Amino acid sequence: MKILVVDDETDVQALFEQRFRKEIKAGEFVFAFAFSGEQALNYMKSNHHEAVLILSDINMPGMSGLELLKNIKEKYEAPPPVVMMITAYGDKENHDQAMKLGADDFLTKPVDFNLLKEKLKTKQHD
Amino acid sequence: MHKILLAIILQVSLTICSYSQKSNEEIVYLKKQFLKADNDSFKLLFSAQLANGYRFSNIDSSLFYTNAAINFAKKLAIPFAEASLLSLKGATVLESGRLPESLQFQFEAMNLSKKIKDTNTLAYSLNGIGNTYMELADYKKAKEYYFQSKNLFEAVKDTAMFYNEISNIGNIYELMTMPDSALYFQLIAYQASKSRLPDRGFVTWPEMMFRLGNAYKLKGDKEIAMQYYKRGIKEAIADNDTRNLTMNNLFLAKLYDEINMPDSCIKYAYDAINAGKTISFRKGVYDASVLISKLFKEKSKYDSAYKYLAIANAEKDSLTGSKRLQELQRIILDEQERQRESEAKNIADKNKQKQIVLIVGLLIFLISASILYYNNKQKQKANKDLESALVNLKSTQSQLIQSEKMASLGELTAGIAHEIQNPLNFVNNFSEVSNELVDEMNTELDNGNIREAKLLAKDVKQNLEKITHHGKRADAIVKGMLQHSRSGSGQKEPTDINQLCDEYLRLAYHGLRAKDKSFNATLKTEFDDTIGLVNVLPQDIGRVVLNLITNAFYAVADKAKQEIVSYEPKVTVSTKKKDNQLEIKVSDNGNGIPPKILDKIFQPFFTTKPTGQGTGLGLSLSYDIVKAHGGELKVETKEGEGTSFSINLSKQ
Repeated sequence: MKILVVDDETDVQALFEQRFRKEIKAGEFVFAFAFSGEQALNYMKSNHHEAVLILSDINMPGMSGLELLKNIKEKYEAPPPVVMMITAYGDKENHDQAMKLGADDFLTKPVDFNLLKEKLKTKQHD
Repeated sequence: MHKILLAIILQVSLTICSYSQKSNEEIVYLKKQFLKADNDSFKLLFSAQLANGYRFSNIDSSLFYTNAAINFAKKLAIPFAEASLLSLKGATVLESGRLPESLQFQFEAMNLSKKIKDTNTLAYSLNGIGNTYMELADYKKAKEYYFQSKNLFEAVKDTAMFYNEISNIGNIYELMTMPDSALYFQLIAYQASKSRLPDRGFVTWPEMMFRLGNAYKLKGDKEIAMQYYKRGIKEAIADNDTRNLTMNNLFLAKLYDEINMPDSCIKYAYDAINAGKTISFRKGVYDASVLISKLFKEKSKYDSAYKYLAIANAEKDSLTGSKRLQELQRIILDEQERQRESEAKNIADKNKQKQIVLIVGLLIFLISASILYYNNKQKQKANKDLESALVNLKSTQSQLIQSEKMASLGELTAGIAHEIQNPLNFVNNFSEVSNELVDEMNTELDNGNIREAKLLAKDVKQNLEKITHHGKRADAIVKGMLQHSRSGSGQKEPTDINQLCDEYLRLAYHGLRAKDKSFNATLKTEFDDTIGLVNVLPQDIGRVVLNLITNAFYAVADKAKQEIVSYEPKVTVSTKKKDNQLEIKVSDNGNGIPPKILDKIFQPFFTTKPTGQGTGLGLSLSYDIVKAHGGELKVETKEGEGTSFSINLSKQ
């Protein structure tokens, strides 16, 4: 399963690669990284339908995670990729808006990697 | 002469009865008599009868004889004959669509009647005013006047005119689309008149016919309506009543149009135009022409349609022209009334004002006298107070500066929380993961897999570096915060201006995001890497940069609220080396600063933010800080496009 992680903090790449090193080694998950909403859209364009799951930060300069979510859910139909949103401000407003825009799940920082792992595995077996 | 006068009076008062039509033979006879008459009394008698005789068949002739009769009435000093004739004249000009003149003549008649206390002529003039208001489509006023005149006609026992008014009231209800009331009044008039057949009853019979027709049509009974219109045409021809011949034909044509029988409609509309034209009955000709033009258009006979449209337009010009004049007159009259009232009020007000001015003047004199006395006494004391106030002011000033610092710190708090959260997450995550890696490494060592163990050790080392990096990042943020709140007296030190700008840009951005989650903006940095370290008070310059960036964010957030499509909020921070100078520039694409407040923005306590949201000290303190560094703070702005502030510092 290919997962695209979108965050403006570049160190998330190192973190994800280590947190999921066993799964990566076993070939269960393949990760790609984008450091802005714009980059993520570019990636989606050039690797059409490869990523089946997108994990995006909401709070990013430029295109926000919510805009990215809206873009993806509007552009990629039949079936659009699963999108999970992450934010530091775990408030109701952001949550409701993300859900309204069609987010499949919502996580708050700091991310509980064990929970995330479980969620990803359920998605994989869906 | 006395007897003759009496006869004239009787005749004249009869002349304006609307039902007294004259046959062609009678008219020819009256003309002869008029020409033959050798005294004014007879001339008045015959001209008045001719005026009335021509009323529905030739408007111009009718007006000619009316004017002649009015002159004779004036000459002979018979005021109520004059009033009756004025009323007749008003009624006649109304037929040709000259509404303002009509109303004017009727009011003249009314005033004259009131002056001489003649109920009969007064009732006629009120009836005439009602007719004119009806044409003006002011149905409320028309109804008022009709009811007044109806009561007066009843009082003078003029049964014919009484029922005429009843029919008029019915007509007004018809125009106000109240079918039941309309039919009720018309039937009263009709029944009363029918009992008086064959001498035609109280009302103008052809008019009675189309009014009944209209009332039935409004009730939805088109069959009966059609019968009355057709009967109306016959009666009108028999009476030589061209006006009501036009009306009956017109209403019948309209009915045929409604029930989609265009050929019949055209025939009767055509008859209406022909009849209306012979007596310059503009409104009738106009309505019929519009109708006929519409029908020819539907039949695609554009030539004919155009012809009748042209006829309609010619009639309309004179109709609407006079309506506008009427409106103007009404406005002028109302205005004059108002002016008279306000003038009277003004005079009363002025007198009052004069009194007030006197009293106030006296009071002012007393007050200033006592103030002068008091002042003298207080002067010495005041001097002392001033000295202590100055001391107070100085301490207040330093307090204010401190509170501005704390206020901007408040703006930063949320940003700081967010900024610290991220590095702390990394510290926690990387240390947790390293713990796991060390366990794995031990397993590999136990299994003798030194190569694998070494690879894991490399990862652990990399993680430790990340932990240190993010730990330092959090540390720098906290240090910066402390520095920011510390009050001055620091030493200048070599500072990395680019790093300082970057840090405050992020802090300000996240601070605003935490407050307003819908806010977003593109951040752009253009840093000149060659500027090196610059000797400044970092916390002071940091405060200036923070203030400028916060302002820029407010500006773009403000513009974003206007929801302009395609507007992308953008804030740019750039640094540039110029000879021995360094420029730090903060630009936004907000709404810009209006020219009228541009010269005030550096003044202390000037703020555009709502009360309680800004201290109004930000830019004023920034200006002082930059000046203390021997630099310059400048602003460039264009309304609607944006603003940029630049700090120019000497590199030394």
